[in-house]
Amino acid sequence: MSSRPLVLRIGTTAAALVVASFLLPHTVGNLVVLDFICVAAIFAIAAIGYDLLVGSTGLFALGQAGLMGLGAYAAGYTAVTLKGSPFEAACMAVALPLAATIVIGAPSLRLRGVYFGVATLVFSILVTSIATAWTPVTGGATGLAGIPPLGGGNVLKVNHAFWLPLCGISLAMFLALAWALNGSRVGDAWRTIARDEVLAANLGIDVFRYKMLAFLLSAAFAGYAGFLFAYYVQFLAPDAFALRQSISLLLMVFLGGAGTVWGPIIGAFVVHGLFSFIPSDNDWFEVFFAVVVLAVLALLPRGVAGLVYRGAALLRGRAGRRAPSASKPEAD
Amino acid sequence: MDFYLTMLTSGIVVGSLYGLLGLGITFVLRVTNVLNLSHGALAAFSGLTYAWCLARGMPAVAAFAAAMALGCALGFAQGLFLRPWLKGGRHVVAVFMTIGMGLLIEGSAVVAFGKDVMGARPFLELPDLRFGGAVLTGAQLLLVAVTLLGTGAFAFWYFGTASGKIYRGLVDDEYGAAVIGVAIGRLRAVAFAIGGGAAAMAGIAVTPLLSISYSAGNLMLVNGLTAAILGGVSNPFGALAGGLLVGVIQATVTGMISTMLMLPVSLTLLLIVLIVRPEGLLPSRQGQRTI
Repeated sequence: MSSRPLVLRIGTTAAALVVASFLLPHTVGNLVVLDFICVAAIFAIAAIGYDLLVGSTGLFALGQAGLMGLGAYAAGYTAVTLKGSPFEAACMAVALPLAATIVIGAPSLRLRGVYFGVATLVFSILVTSIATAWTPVTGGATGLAGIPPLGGGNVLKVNHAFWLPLCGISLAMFLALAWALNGSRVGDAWRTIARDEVLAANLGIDVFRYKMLAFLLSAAFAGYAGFLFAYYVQFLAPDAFALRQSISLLLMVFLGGAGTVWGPIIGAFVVHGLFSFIPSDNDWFEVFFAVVVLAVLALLPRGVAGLVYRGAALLRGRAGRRAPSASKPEAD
Repeated sequence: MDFYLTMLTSGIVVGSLYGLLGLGITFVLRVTNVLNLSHGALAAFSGLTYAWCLARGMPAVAAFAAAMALGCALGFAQGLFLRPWLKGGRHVVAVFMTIGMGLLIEGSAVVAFGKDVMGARPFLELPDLRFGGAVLTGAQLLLVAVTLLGTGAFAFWYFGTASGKIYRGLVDDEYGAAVIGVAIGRLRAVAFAIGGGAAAMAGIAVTPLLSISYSAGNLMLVNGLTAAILGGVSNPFGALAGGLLVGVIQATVTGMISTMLMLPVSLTLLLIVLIVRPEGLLPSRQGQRTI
């Protein structure tokens, strides 16, 4: 497919997101719904970054919530203890996860196999346990409170007329960046690596560099999402970034459609909705969560986006053409 | 002196648990190329089953057999479920699926046994062992013995028998094994069953020592992984050595500074090894093999 429709598609989607985010606070009066949309949009940013790593590049990684937590705590520490501005907090929230990414990724991404995945898993658990243990900096198990409100409002009442456009513009920007990269030659390189690393290397693709790029991007997305989360909720607790949250993000990616970039936005809204309205203290909650994860992985390998693409192909009368497989998602 | 001796003993006891867990993880990883992230949950579930059976008045041997059978059966079921993805070479999805399976096992433990901590007596009563000023209780001795015997039996089977040889061939060259007619799919499912059995054995042996609950699996998974990576996943005995090393370091740090540091210490250790020497401390003789 030519690149002109891709530019158009990215442009219209991003514009629609921004316009909707400006209109929603004035048309929807229900605070629960507005709150839901803001948090889901923040998680969607982290999920899009995760998709570049897991979906497009096909790597096994489990550290996205840890990176998001690192960004959130960096922002929180800058805001509360260092009395920094929100801009400084945002810079810290992106810089720290990027630094962690280089330390973890530089050695483990050179090797094929489980090492990278285990390193991200360990990193994620380490973030939670350090956040719990290092009380002077992170507030420990009781959490970090006192992050100043952004855009007016106070701790109890968030100013949605400010927050929804902020989340909408952020989401649109990150979506456009990820989508443009995914549809470019960089995305082709990622997908080749996902399909066959040895083949990719033989084609002259610098496998390590492209993997590292995907990992760095996912960390930047996660860090920025952590910054938004910290300022939106104005309170950070270690539990919010536990391994369970990484699995939730993973579910968002696969439910929405791994490797499609826009799919994880749908995934974020569905998964966040699923868990907002079901009490998590129920004894059956974990079984339910697990069954959803397994069912999505087994039955919807390309997620909702895959169904949309297939439906669109049917409408265009190309039903006979086989849908692209999960390991080589459609790049547009 | 007694203090250090006690620390060393407790380090060896937990270390042998980590080694046994690591052995199961490594074996499944080598044969199937899938990192089974539900290994800890399997161990915890089997341990809880054992405690539950004992609490219902079953004899210890019967409870042991039931929990072992359950561990093997769950592992085998995993292997069968993952077969299409292993066959299609979609290992990353398979690893993600083992996370879902771990959650499912953990959730089932909540539903079946509740969230309370459960303890049990060991399945074999051994006398306490005293040397110097240190004491090794019967339950601790049993855990060390189970690990040593388990590793020994595994080594005998893997290196000394015909069926072990088939698995070695599969690990060395999957394609070659397929060409000469080895039923790869079935062997992989059996490997998951063996892994489940190893996890169950670790869970059963540790329940009398640690009184576990439904969520004990996460810690067991992390420590088992640490042992496996530290020892080098390409060496079948690496896990035991790695486990003992982690156990002794952990016991030393927690004994000297604070028990709060137990998890951060093993995680930092693992991260350092992954960054500095990812192939493990004991590389295999054939040189580095990246799975």
